[in-house]
Amino acid sequence: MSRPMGCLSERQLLSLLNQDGDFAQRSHLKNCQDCAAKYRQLESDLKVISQTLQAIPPPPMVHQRLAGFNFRWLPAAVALTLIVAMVWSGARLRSPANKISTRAADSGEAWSILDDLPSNPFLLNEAIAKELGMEDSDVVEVEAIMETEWPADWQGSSDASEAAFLVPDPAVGEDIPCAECLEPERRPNERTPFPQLSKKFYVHRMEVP
Amino acid sequence: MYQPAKSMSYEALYTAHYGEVLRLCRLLLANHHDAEEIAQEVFLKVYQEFQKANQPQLMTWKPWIVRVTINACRDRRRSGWWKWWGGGAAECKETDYPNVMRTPEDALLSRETERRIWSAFQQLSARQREVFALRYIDEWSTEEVAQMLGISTGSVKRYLFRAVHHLRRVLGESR
Repeated sequence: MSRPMGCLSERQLLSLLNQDGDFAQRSHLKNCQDCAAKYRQLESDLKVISQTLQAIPPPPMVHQRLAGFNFRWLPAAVALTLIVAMVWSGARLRSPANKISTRAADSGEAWSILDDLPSNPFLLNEAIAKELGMEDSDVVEVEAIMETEWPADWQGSSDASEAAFLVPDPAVGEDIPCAECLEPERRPNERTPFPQLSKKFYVHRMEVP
Repeated sequence: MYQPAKSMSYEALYTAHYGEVLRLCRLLLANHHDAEEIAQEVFLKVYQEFQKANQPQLMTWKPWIVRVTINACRDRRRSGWWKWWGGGAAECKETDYPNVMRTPEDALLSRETERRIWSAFQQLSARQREVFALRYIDEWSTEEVAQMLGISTGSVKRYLFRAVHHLRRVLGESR
């Protein structure tokens, strides 16, 4: 006589479904209503699952695109990015170039330099002359010279058409006054309001062939 | 050289097994475009093997094709960009499967249940998916599945039980 058995587990029912169960399990399944119902339910579930997977195409699962992305690291990544940005911006602010610019900006020096500049760039000659302590007649002369001919190195060497007009004028002659010659004796430690600009407008001696 | 006999046999092989291979790839990759690509790769290998074989008509091709398909799907899943992209399930249209005949019972299944089943299937491990697909979709026996995957029958049963348990749990939740 066979030993009385308890109800079958899901694993045993699956074995039976796969034709792997033993005789005792099969006989129990025949006699037990609960196990028979479970067995039928398992059979039905597997049929539904198989049919779904077999017949119905996979639905669009957009979230799977991000499945590889681990959101747990997101706060750490954001914090790290912020730290790097702060360090980088701090390093930039401490760099020497930025120090000068910020200091100048803080003290208003930059604005005062801009205030000293004439609004019309053509008035620069006059401003330079004033700075150099020249008379009005000298200023007119310098302006005339500058309008007549410009130094060769100020011309665009590549511009051939413009170079054609640069025929040396014998009337002007070789003795074009140079800004260096016009420059008065300056007291030591004397400071020009815009030294860079005044240097730029020096007129050098022309080499007339 | 054109070999009519072999070509005809290969065509028959292709016609007989292409649908099954595509379905298996779709189950394992959950992406129709990837599945088609892998199916093409598989049949390229089949063709090469067919050309090399002395008597291809006598060979049992189906288990070999299934094994090649599973290996190709594994390779695709392991490839770097596929992992990075998450192996996403691209949108598939039901019109891509014109032969699908949905019974009234299928029609009763709600869209939500289908989505849950697919989602649960994608949550299974690669091995569980392979075992389940071969056993219940392709309807191979436990021993044949074990032989194809190169594992013991006990392992097949274990994977199968875990897969079925997980899928049934999800299906039960959706009821």
